[in-house]
Amino acid sequence: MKNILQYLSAGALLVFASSSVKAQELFVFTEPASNMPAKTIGIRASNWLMPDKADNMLNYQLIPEIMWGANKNLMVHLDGFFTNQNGNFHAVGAGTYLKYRIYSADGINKHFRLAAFGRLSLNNSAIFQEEIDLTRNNTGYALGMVATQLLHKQAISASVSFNQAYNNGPENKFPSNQADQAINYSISTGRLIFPRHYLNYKQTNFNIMLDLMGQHLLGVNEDFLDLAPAVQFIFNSQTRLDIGYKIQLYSDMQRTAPNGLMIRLEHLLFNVF
Amino acid sequence: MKSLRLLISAFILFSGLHASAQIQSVTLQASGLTCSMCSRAIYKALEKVSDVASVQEDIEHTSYHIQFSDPGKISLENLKKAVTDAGFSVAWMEVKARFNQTEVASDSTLKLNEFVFYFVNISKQKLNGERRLLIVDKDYLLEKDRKKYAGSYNTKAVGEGGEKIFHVTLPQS
Repeated sequence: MKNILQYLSAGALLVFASSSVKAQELFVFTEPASNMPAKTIGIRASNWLMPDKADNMLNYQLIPEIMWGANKNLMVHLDGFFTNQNGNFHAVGAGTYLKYRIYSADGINKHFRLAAFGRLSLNNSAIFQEEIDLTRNNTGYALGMVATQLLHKQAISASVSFNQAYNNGPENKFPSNQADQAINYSISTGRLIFPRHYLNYKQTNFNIMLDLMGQHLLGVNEDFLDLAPAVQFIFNSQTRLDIGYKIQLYSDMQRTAPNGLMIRLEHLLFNVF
Repeated sequence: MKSLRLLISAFILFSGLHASAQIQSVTLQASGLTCSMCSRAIYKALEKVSDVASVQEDIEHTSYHIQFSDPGKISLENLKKAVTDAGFSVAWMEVKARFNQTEVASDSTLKLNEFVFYFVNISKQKLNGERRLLIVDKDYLLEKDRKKYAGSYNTKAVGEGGEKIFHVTLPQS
């Protein structure tokens, strides 16, 4: 487990360690330490297509999200969780995510940012897996830190968070034989492929991204590690299309749908307030 | 008589100077970003600052050239705030103004529009034509560059009317 992690982290760093690239930190599966601009609103729809191992079905999950740059340091997300699990498409919960920038040091084409974040999610779906996932399956909260370094046109980001799961409402109790606390961690990186030179805001940007995400269940000492490559298009410097695939590299815990395709559309509205 | 005429014309010239020495435009570079989405966020925020007539962007160098509908009402602080509210910093900000035989030296002050500019680190000279003034105050210049000037002025200085004094120097190129 540790060897896989070290190998992959080193590999991910090497892949992106070319000084000729321009790094991007609009990561697909994780959040960077950077915030959204103040007075800006982002609208996001994340679509997950995941083959479910238990019932041989294709799970479809939709996460609509509104993001708001409250001020230059604080941003707030509100999201809803929808799924077609059990046959019909229905809402299973909602959540909020807050990120506060604690530290930032800017230079020309470089910066270091440190942010604290928290998530609170409510979910009423049945619990079929050991993995704690506050964006799809569990009620609970998360508290964490994320650091992002952009240096000589390369960016790398790392996060760690504590996750606590609770009962999914009175009808779907959290199984007493499962760990309800976990540490999540991630390493992310990305680079701009096109355009080579910026001329105007109408140029379509093409980025490739790589996220490495893991979870460690406290008490039972079980882990998983996922790798998630993605491509990203940014149109008009305002609308974003992400297409990514999450692949389980390692797991010794029970997960119902560890692999899957994610397609996300995001649009920014500048200076709304 | 001749000297009196000279004195009068000098006086007219001198008083004319202050009226004609006006800020024409502002150019700034933002730091802490690479992507065009970030650049556009700053562009949009600068466009929203009151009395900004146009913003010309250089995405590659993350710099912006700003022109005003009424140069008399420019707020340099609001321009800086637009950049920081977008989540980034000002790497440098230059004010372009037209001069005509304006005498300046280190520790001399000059009133342009509603601003008091205090010159640092320059030799005694006369400014002519369009010249750029580099603001060397905190949050208007990268910290490592600002430190070169930091010892040469009182950072808390304010004008007679309590207005902010901008410390400026003449950029090398």
